[in-house]
Amino acid sequence: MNQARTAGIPRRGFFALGGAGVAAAALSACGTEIEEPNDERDIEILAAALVGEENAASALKVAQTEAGRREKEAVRALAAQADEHATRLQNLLADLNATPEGEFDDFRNLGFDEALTAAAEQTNAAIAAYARGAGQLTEDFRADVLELIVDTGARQAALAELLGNEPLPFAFVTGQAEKPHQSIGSSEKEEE
Amino acid sequence: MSAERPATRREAVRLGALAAGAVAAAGLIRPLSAVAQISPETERLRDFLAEAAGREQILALAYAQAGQVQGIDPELEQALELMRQQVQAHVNALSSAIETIGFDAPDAPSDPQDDGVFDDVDGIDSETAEELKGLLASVGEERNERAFLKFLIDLNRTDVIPFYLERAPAIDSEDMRTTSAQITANLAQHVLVLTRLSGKSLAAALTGQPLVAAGGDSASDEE
Repeated sequence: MNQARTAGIPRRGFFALGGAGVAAAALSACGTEIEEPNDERDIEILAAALVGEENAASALKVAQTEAGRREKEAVRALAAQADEHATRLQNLLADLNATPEGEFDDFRNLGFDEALTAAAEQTNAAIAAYARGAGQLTEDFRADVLELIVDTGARQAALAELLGNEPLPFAFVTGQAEKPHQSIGSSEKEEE
Repeated sequence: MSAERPATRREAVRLGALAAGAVAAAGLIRPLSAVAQISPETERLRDFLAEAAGREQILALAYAQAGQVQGIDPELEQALELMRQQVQAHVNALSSAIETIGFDAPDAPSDPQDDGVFDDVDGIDSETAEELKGLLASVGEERNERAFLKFLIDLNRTDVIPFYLERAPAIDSEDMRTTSAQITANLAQHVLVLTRLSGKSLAAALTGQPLVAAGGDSASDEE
């Protein structure tokens, strides 16, 4: 049986990434104050996700009108999924007596690829909010965002395929623009 | 456990970080640096990390075994290797986090019969160890390419993604909850890609069985 090693562990304020092509977990730096979950932050995170999902749905509906026969059904499914997510988020925000805020965009007049690209960007924004929310939301909402990030992650891969991009670019899906092998922060700050 | 251990904790943490894309968090470190006795929160976190690492180690082995099916299509082999590498990155990050809170991660099984790796591991009780051994043994069953794809879909949908959905929300580490979400999204992508590789259209992959199995549901039930 291995034993807990109880000697003092140096605090580290860094995160090194890399290895197998991974932008890994961006973790809070040491010594930073960790804010306790609260309604205000819950609303901020859920509203950010809602904006991403609403905008993704709008862009996908534009893409649907421009889609060829082969892609139409898939794009319709993706739009329906983003709509469902938006509805779920609106309900969560309603539980907090919050009115959704944010920048809801107009994607009309975009071509198929442009609309899909916009949908991918908005899907990434939703993913970033879900990932942050899994960490920072009040416990009541964490299971919701974890469930939502499952389908949203798959949507990101589907959009990548439709756009002719790599559907599995990162081992850790952050919704951010990390590149494989990128490092976040320095690797050697620590308090000894 | 490991035959060769890094000489110091510092070295262990650095190796983990460099190899993995690490998880080392103030949120993880504080409990043990503050108290010599393991707290219930740290114990729960350790249990979560150890079981997650075990499940993902089995998944990584399954991808590796699938890639060795005789006569496999080279494009499929390449896709499986990419997925194996991504799962290995999850394992490395989880293992690094386990090291950071002062424990040893379970060793990776070298083959489907190597189930001793789940014995006497802090954070993996005997019931969990038996479950992991059963899962590991299932990796070794003889399968053709198509059957392996279904098995991999099933493994993700039934045994790995639901684990994160069920357990991650309650763990006492903001950073590990975030990391779990990022991992879960990646595994969902694997399910979609594997479903496409098994010959389904994109629309069918999106509208067919859910990415996460409900209780008792499995990929193989569907067809």
